Amino acid sequence: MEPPLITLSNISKTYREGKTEVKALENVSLVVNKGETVGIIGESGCGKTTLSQITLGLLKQDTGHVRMIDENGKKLDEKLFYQTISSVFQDPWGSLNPRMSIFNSIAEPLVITRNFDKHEIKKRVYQVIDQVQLNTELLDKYPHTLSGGQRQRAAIARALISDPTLIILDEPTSALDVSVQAQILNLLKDLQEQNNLSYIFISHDLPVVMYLSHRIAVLYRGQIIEEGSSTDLMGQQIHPYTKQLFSSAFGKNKLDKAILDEVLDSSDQKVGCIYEFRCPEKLTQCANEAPNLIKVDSGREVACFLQPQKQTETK
Amino acid sequence: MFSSINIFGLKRSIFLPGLFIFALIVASLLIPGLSPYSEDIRGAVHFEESNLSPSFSHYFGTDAAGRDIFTLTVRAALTSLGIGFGVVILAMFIGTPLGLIAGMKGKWIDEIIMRIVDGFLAFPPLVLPLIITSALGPSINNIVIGIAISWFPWYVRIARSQAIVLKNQDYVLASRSFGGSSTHIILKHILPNSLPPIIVQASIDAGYAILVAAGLSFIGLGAHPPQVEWGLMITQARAHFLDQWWTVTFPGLFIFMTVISFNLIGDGLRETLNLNNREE
Repeated sequence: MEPPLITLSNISKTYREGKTEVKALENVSLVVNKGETVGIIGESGCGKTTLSQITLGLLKQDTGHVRMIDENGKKLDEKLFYQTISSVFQDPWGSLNPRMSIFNSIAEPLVITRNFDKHEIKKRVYQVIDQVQLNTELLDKYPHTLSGGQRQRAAIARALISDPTLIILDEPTSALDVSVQAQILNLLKDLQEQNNLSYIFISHDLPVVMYLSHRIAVLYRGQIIEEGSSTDLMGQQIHPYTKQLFSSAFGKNKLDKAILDEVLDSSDQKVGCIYEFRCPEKLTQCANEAPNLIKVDSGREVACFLQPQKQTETK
Repeated sequence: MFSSINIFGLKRSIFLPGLFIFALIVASLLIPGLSPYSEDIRGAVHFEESNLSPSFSHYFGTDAAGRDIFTLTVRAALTSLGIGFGVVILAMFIGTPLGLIAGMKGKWIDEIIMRIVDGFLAFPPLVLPLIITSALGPSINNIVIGIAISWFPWYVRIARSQAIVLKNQDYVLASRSFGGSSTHIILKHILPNSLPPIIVQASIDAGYAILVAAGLSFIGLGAHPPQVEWGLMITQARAHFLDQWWTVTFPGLFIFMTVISFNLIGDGLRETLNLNNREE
């Protein structure tokens, strides 16, 4: 099997502000293969953005490492890293500099690398805006004259211009209208096929993640609690949190409001399972012992005491 | 950088004071050629015509040396506006880079820059320019340096606060994720986006700089005869102003109108620039 494109292993990150500590990520490991979309889903404050910023090199992790390899299986150095990995942010109103023309914004990654002359840059810009189906007339315009969808297309064009192999999509559609969301998602899907791209798709919107992802990791309070292919997850959710997430997203029943309202103090040092507060199916051991992320099936991992035994029994 | 602002779409609140300043610049450049009393600018005296009240031959009257006050007042605008622009440009050039670096880098660099800046701000507003100008020796250039040195801390503060806000914007994060260096980010992202409030502050300060410069000239630290400057004109006439009201009134009125104009331009710019931001 081909080695994974990017490997994150045992990433931990703790934010410290005076005496209070907030564990944003704890022992998160993730692999992304070539041409694959990995969805990361979780509620706000679960560490999604921290994970994307660490992967992009914007934040330094406390422990663990991010490794990318090139075609020959060699580890990438920093400069190539920036070119192989790229990102689209959530807010198309904030991700483009209001005082830069669309052309300059899209061309910025190439300008930074300083490996291209003006003519090449222009050629590349026209190529990518054609790929994202953006009108060439918009190139001289400034972001405030564009619609949300057009801006997000421009942001995607900027992410594509350095010819990356991996794009991190941090809630790329959550700020857009539903009709525009669908267009952008389809565009992302087409681009993936054309350019053999890998995506890390970060969102709290389960249907959107399901639509695009091959594999999904469920993040809860900085830890991955369940991971599996999207078809497997859709078919059966093992972790109680994933169950609740799916049932609320696909309308079977709403998330118990009492559970959601519970104040989460992420700074406390908890011995047991992180989900024990909210869990409707908790066992006595959950309060004293934290379950590890265990492989229950091929490509399927869960951090819960309840399920692995059941899984082996049915087999 | 003001590509989004149409000159003709500027608010009337900018247009009128802007026109006044522009007319003043043009008039002060042309007056030596147009006025029949242009030799007065170079210090000619006509004691036979001293202390004449305003009339059609001398619109603003004449001073104790018989010089035409209209010609002098208009010509003095060049000195005063030069001081105003000089001060804000110098203060901006010193203050903005320091503030941007402090805001971007944070930590100990920020601490050092801001504590030095606090030291400058500890002086009462008029005292520091007074000390610097008297130490360097009284002249118009030294007035500009003195005022600029005591005012640049405000630009450091504005630039720093802008940098702190802007460095966490998504487009800055995106630029960093593409490998953009600090220099690239400051020049391409932070500086262009932090200019509007700095320019607003500069246009308001230009007026106050003229006022302070006139004050320093009044106490003898600035312009010297035969230079013409509004503050100097008032100080030369202060012995006679109870009998000859026109000798101090017209230079004073011009100081007043210029300061007001710069203030209105600053306010108007603030409105225009904010409006554009909100549309985004």
